[in-house]
Amino acid sequence: MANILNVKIFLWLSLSVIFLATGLNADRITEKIYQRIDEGFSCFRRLNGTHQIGCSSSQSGNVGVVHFLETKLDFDWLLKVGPDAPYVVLLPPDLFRRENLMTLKNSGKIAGVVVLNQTDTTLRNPAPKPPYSNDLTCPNKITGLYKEDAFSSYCDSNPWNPAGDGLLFEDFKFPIFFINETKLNQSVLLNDCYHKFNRPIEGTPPSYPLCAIELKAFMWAAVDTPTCLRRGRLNMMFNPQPSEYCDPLGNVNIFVPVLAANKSDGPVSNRSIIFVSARMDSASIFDGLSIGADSAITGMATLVAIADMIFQFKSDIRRGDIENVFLVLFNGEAFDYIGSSRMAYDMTLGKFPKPMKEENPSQSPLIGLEHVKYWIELGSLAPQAGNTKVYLHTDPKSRSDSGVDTKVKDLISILQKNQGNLTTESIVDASIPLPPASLQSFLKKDLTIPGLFISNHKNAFANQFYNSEWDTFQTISSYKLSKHLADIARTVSASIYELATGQQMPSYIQVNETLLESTLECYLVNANCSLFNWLLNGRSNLASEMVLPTYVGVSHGDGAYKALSLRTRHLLAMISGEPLDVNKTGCINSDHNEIYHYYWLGESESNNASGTCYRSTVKTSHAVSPAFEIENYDWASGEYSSWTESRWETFSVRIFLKASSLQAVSIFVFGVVVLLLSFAVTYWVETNSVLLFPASPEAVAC
Amino acid sequence: MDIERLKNDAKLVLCRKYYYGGFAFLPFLWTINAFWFFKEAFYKPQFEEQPQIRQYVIRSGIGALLWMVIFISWTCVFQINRASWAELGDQLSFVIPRGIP
Repeated sequence: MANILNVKIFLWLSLSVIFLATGLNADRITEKIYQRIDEGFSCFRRLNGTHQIGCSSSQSGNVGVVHFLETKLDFDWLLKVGPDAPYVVLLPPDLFRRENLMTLKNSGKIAGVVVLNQTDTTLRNPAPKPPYSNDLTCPNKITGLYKEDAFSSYCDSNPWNPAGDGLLFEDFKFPIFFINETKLNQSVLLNDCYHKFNRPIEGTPPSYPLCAIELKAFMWAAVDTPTCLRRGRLNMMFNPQPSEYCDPLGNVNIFVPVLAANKSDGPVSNRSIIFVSARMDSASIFDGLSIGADSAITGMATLVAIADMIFQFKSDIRRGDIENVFLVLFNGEAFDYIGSSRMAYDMTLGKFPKPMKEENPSQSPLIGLEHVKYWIELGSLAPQAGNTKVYLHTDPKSRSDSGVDTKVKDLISILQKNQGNLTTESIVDASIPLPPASLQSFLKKDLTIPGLFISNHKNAFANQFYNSEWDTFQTISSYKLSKHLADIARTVSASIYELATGQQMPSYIQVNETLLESTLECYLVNANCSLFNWLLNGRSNLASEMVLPTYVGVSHGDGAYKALSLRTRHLLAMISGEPLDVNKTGCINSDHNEIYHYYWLGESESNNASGTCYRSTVKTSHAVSPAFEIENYDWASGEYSSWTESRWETFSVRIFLKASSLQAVSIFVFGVVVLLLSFAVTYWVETNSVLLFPASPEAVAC
Repeated sequence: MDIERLKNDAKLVLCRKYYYGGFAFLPFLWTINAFWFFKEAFYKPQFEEQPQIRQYVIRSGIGALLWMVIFISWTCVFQINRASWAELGDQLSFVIPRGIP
């Protein structure tokens, strides 16, 4: 009797100890199994009118055994031997190219790819061997000017971006991450995971346990843009937890009318405005990795320098026929000219800058395509080693009209007259169309616009990393960079001065090279720079040494993509703004209207600077494709950009040790056996309970 | 409810109610009817109302089976074709799946 009691107490005690122990450690078990890796940038899904591109994992994440492919030779072992599929391969950046990715994709042995970026001892990123571009050989061809004419085949034989492998437009059914191992203390993936557990020795597969990785990047949208938009719409109606599936790519175009104009001054004369434009976005496969140094920033920074010069002589602009100069930065140009096509669309519909409203007295007059006198666009401008020539591209299609041709020739001759230290070359061959440029969106609507595209390439792009994550400061950096951009800014400004007044630009008007250099620093090296901090009154909230991505992004989601347009807008407000003698509250509460906006800039607690109020004509306009505005738009038409970005919940990467399937199965079987055994024991105890627990006399008495 | 306690005529009334109720596109009533009164209809020693109950049970059973066939075939057809039906497929879905066609 006493024995049985002891057994009962012992069982009870040991059980409660087990429960307590597991209960205490319950939340730490995942930590014991998994190690998170946070320095990752993920590939994600985008959709257009007909296709989906990019990557997605399964809903619960893709798991694979880690395998490092250091050279091309390592592919053979993985594809022919590799017994532990599915694998997640680690690739050095130079091997992340189309042919390798397609081999992996078609092998069926791959659950994911990690591009492992390890900095060398000099802390420089070993960029892939140029040329390297994941964009198309003919970027934006479908929505461009030459879709259905004799020039459409030009790019097929003379590609603008010969390095383009089109990987950006490929659809992968597995996730792809870009992981920096520089910021981690030691190489977790390579040393702790791969070399320690998984490396095949002389071709012999490693034995279990193996290091596995889980990549999670589940995308909600699928098929194409019309499908995901429709699903979002239906879901919003019926689902108890409504959410969209995808969002149109879009941000803002930023533009500055140099002279303020009110609609009460009367309509703008035809052919009286000079436009100077550049693009401010680029692209890459990975979320958050798109600096676009030469794809976007060289042209943009030059435009900033030009703006600074033009505002020094703005009172002279109206001496001749010219009524105004517009400086424009387009957004979303990497994805089928989103910003420029929208502005051209708004202009043709009489909605630019804003639709007219009778009740609002402070509005700019409407600007249409017929008001454009000249269009000067700045493309990639980084100087090339051994060739600092600047090329002037024009559109042969519009120049077939002699009137337009004369004006374009005037424009070229004035630019060449003012070239100063630069060497320029005008492309005279009438069989060469315009390279990919925002100007194409405007010429598509109106072939009578005399336009010019300035860039650093004659035929193929000089930019060896067009629209890729490697288009960084490192690849364009040279002692000539800011000086070269300053020369271009001077040439363009002097030309605008001469176009407007017929005279030489006064020699006291000089390029502000300090401004140009700080601009380049902020956009290319460190967004936590003093200029940006000054523009945001010290409230920049960015990690140090961070560079802001230039990818256009979507209106929904985190502010990373709006951060850049906010800073750019404030930068142009500073350059174009008139300092006013108003205090902070007065400035913020001023009458912000469609002509002027008021910006409070330069306040700093640490420097004890009080700040200044600037009144500026800087404005933004929607850079969302007209395709999303037009009712019953034909998504297959390719008339406008139809790009959307899928929504997702999280990106996560974690590694863990994986047991062999034999071990996993045997543990499971053992569990089942224990379960069945426990049933048997319970049954036996139940049937023999009378023997084990004799009924006590007292209980019976009750 | 334990129908054992009901009198035979009450059983018939109940069985009839379930049978007619099923016509209001309520196949579950027929399913329940068929199972619930199965013993009464086929295994109980004969009683006056038994032939009628049996009739209702058989008809309810057939109806329920028919409905089941319809349900299963529709589910198969829908699951197989939802993606290719595109817009119609989405409109017929209550929960639209994420990340797949």
